[in-house]
Amino acid sequence: MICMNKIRLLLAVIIVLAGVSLVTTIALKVSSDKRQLPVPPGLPGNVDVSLQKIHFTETRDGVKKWDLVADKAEYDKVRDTTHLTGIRMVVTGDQQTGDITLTADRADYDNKSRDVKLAGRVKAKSASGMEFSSATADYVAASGLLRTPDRIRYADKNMTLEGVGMEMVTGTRNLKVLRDVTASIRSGAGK
Amino acid sequence: AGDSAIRRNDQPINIKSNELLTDSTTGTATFSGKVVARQGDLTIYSDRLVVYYAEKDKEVDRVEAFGNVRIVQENRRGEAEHAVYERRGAKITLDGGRPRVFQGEDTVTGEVITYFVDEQRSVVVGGKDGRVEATIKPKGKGQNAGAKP
Repeated sequence: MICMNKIRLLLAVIIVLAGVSLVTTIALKVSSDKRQLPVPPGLPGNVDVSLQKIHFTETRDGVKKWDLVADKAEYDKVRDTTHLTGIRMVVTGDQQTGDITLTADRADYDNKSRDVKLAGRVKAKSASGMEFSSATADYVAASGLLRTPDRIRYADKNMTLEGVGMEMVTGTRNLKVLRDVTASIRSGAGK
Repeated sequence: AGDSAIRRNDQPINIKSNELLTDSTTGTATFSGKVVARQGDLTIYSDRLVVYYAEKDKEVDRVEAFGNVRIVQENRRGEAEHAVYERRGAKITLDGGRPRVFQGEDTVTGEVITYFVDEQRSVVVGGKDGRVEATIKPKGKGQNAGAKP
């Protein structure tokens, strides 16, 4: 009977030892991983993920709407917004209008509405010769509208103009300038 | 007038307004709100101005002015509620309201006035029951008589 107890005791000790060694091994592994990972410079409080050289593509019903390349992207989970810097965005156009290429210092991409708010030296150029510049511009995904409340400079084959406040439907290139319009229309515009 | 016409016709049309709306489908640019449009020595004032581009070559085909239209060229002035400026033919057709053309102190009124910009000549049509009315001030004599109390 005594022999059985001794065996039981021995087994219990072995089990406990095995458990302790397992826990120790895991603990050592986790702490070493932490030391290897380069800890990113202090991320701003509200930023959860920071990425470099990011490329977004927006498609709708299988049709590509726009492409966006940014030098840096920081995702803010609270506002569900991605803050981007160093922007180059190409809005797809049709055969007649051609694509519009927008560049800006920074942008905020709203992951829910898919709107893009561009800011800082916003410039737009299209394959058909249209271009405009302004301080900021919002791309509204639902309507494909580009709009800004700022002073703009605009030019295309027919005219050059300045004004304040603009809305452009990227699909048709129809344009509305809201205030203070000064335009110059080339009379022999076709030449 | 021929040379200056060619030069004016090729000059850009400079336009100021409160608002602008372009429509690529109809090939138009609509300026609205205190519109002032200038091409060389010709100036058009109106509430609204529509620029039509020619389909083929996208050149300016014609310009249509609506509301409180006033057209000024040197000492000639035309007034109406509606006017169409055809660039190629270099003529302006005034109608709507009671179109009038002034040159110095002379005035002509009619139903439709067609003004040939490069020839400084107008054709005035009286319309069904309207008649053409012209007031021509004799030069010189008229001024002295008026001076007496």
